[in-house]
Amino acid sequence: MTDAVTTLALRIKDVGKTYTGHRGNSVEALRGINLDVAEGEFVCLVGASGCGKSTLLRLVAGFEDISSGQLDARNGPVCGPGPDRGVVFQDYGLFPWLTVAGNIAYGPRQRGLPSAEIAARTARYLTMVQLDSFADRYPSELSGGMQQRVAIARVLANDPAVLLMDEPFGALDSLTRERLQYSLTEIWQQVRPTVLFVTHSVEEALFLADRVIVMSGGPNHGVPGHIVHEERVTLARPRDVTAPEFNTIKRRLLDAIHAQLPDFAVASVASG
Amino acid sequence: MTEVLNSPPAAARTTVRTTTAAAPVRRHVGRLGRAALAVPVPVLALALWHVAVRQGWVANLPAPGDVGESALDLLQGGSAFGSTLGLHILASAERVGIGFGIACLVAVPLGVLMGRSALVSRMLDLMISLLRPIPVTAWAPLMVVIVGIGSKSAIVLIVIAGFFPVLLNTIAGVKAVPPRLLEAAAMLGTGRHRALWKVVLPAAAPNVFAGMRIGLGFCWVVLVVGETVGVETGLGALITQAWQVSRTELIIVGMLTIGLAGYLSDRFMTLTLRLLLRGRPLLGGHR
Repeated sequence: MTDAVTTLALRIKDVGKTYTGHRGNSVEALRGINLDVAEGEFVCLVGASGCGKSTLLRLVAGFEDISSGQLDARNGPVCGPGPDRGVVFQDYGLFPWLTVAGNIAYGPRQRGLPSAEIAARTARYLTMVQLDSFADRYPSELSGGMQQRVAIARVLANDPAVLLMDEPFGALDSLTRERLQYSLTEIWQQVRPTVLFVTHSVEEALFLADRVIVMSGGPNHGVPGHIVHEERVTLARPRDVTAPEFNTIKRRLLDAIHAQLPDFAVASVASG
Repeated sequence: MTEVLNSPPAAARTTVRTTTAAAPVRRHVGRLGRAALAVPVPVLALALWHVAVRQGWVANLPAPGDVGESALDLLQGGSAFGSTLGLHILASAERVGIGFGIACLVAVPLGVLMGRSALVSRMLDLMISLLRPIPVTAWAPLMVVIVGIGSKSAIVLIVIAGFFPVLLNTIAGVKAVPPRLLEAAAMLGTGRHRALWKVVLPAAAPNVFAGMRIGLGFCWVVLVVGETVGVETGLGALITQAWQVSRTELIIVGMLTIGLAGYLSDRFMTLTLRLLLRGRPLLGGHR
């Protein structure tokens, strides 16, 4: 192993995913995915619905097995879910029978950490997501935005090598979403986790990421999902979504996405 | 903190905290008032019963006053049946406790297994579906033959009665566990088997408890059948003996006592669980 390999948090090499149905018919969701994520890097996957970006995230999480290629995390080949790859779901996935503090302490407890360490971590991440005064509430008593903050704290408290976020703000209203994007940027600058973040919002990807990966295709388009474009973003954080440089890159990314969508070509001809 | 709490329980809690000192009093009255709503219907039924007997509308039915008298005698009187009610209640409660306990100990783990494993479920589904419609009364003669008359066969019948509601509700609850919660547990480091304790059981708990409440009720229902033959004590035995000597008012006392005992045991179980869970939202429904 060379030094270049050890600084990688994720190495996705020629990965494909094919689903086989009950009657033996198969659907190829992903083909030939190549993506390396460096340690501490924030990478966003964007693309239209069905392009396989969430599937790719679930492969990395270990919830599903790859059909071809090679998928390595820091601890070696990915084989099932594990605490080194924490996941934040769109629908939060909090344990309703545990309090906010109980949810955050869940991972450290599973690891059998000493109780003082568990308490310290819980307190630290409660504060980080600004939910100190809600420690003893149950998830059902919180708003969606607060629940998602608990979910983020729960994963961070488990100290994962990679943070996988699957459209985490997709179910929230736009104001809450903006606040959480801002909070996530702050948390990322503070903790510097490696993040793989799936979204269908180009603006969200551009606001958050060091690198934006555009995916396209998908079974509905007759081609398996694949990567079509990659954009490195060096704008200083927190980013101004109204700045000209921001919008120049945004336009480029949107073009990359829409160029792949057949119905867009028709629409632009009609409107032009 | 600009986000606002919007769920009903949280809102209710806030209201209670911020109201004036008069609020607890009003709340107390409200609770009493609601409890008082349950009184008129039984009182009316008693009155109707009394009138029906006095007017001779129904033959051979003792008046509520006579039933009350023999209830008192049964509690602390000196007649042939006198002062035995406590004994009967204890004997029945013990059998229900043991039988229902065994039913839960078998049905909950089996339900978790059947809800989680397609293999086990396919192996047992048919068997359970065939056994379930058989009424417990139909099991009774067979149990007398196999287990013999007496307390044991009564307990076996109670086990059968409590078993199916607990099993079926546990299976339903386990099957309804959101896959997302299992994924969440897995990515936080919980292994597949550990997840049964950490996720499947707590997520299925409201269904399991619902099944337990139904099951406990069924256990009291089969008591009379179970205690008909070969036992001296127990509310079922009391009813049987009273029937044999044509003491209709004692039969009614026995019936009402079973109703009361069933109600109290349900309250007892629910309150015990609530105490054990210390406010964790696991019971489902009313908290």
